[in-house]
Amino acid sequence: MDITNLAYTPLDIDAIPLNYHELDDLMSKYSLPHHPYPHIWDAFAVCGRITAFDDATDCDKAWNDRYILDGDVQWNPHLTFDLQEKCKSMLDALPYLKYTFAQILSQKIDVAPHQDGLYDPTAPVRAAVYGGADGFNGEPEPAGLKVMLSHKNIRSFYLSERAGSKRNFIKIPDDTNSFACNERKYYHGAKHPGEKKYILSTFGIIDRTRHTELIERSVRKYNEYTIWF
Amino acid sequence: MNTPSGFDYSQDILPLGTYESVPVQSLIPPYPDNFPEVTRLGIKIDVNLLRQEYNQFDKSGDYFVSRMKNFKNDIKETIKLFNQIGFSRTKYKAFPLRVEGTNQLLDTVGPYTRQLLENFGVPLFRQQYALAVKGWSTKLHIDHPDFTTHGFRVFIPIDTAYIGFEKNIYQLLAGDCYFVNIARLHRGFSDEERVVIMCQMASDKLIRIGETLLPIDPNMLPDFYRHEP
Repeated sequence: MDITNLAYTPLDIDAIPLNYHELDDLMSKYSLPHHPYPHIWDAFAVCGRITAFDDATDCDKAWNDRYILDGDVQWNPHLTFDLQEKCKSMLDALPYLKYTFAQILSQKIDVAPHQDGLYDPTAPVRAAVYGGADGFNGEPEPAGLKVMLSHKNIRSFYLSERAGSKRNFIKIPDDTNSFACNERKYYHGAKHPGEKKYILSTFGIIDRTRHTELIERSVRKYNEYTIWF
Repeated sequence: MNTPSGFDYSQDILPLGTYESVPVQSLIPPYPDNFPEVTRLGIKIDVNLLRQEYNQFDKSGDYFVSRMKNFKNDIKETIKLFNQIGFSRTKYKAFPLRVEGTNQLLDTVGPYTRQLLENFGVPLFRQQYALAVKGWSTKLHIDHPDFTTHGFRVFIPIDTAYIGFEKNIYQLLAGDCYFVNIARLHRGFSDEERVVIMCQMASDKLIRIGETLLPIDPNMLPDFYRHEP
């Protein structure tokens, strides 16, 4: 299956429902202004190579080091046992050899359409991990693996082929909360839904075989939901 | 698209026309809405070395005088227009880094700066230092309506720079290289003396693989920065 131009697909992973009020309570108490965009998101680091979960810059460092395999992933001590187990189950179901960082994001304003960097400071590390033939890529796309934790039926998250082109809002089927999107090739943003929306954004070293198998199975299953450019 | 002052924003205001330009290639159709306002190109630089070489650079020449014979429009009209926008010669100065009439760097360009500009990943032209004095602030304007002749503007800040668009303001931290979409309405400002290296890319390649910069919270800036003069 040629998925070069696949921008978005729901993932064939069973939905794990969370209690919104429990999540909202956690975020109200322990989320931090995102670093380096404190006015756009509040963030709660779920797990990562982090020693100070109450320090946004330490959490940002874990994001920068997301392609480094060494070191144990720590869990945020503010997570309840139940929530930690559910987050673990969500991450285990995603096609990672090892997940290295996950955070719950809550947008405060509209997130402007943007494209993540293919050629950024993490590129050499990624190339080393994945053996990128062109020297700066290598991570299998769609590599943006996320779980919508609330407001899954609201038109908020969208993808566009180019900076100013048509916004294609994602739709998530009833039986899953997880999805994959290509954030490096395509522009993505999110309208603020007017309420606190929560999304689990995950990072790690992707297992190519599992990733290919999951993406192809998901595209076949959720063909009518997929977005291609 | 005229303003009350009569300024036509749809026009190409760059005085040099095709002089000192090279053929521009663009995979994405070269119109402003197809590109983000600001992209971080993923090229890290040593600011201290750049600054050291800027300090040592001979700044005795006069860019305006040396190039005005090649201006496409009447010189007095050009000066009037530039003063109207905010590019008066007392507040904004350029020091070319290239041999006049070419995109070849002068022999006096420092070795680190030369290495950076000659190995940027795409051909560059109109390389120059741009110095804005404390208190400089322009009106909203566009430099040119598309990227076909003048290519894609690069900012390499030696001092942290800011650029405003109709709605958004961006902080361009020293240490990175940026594409700035000057084909959209934008304005420059600075409440400290600010030096950047500016040049034009002859290809959109690095923008396509770069990371879109997200705007900053304007409330973190002094009032001076927030509004068009």
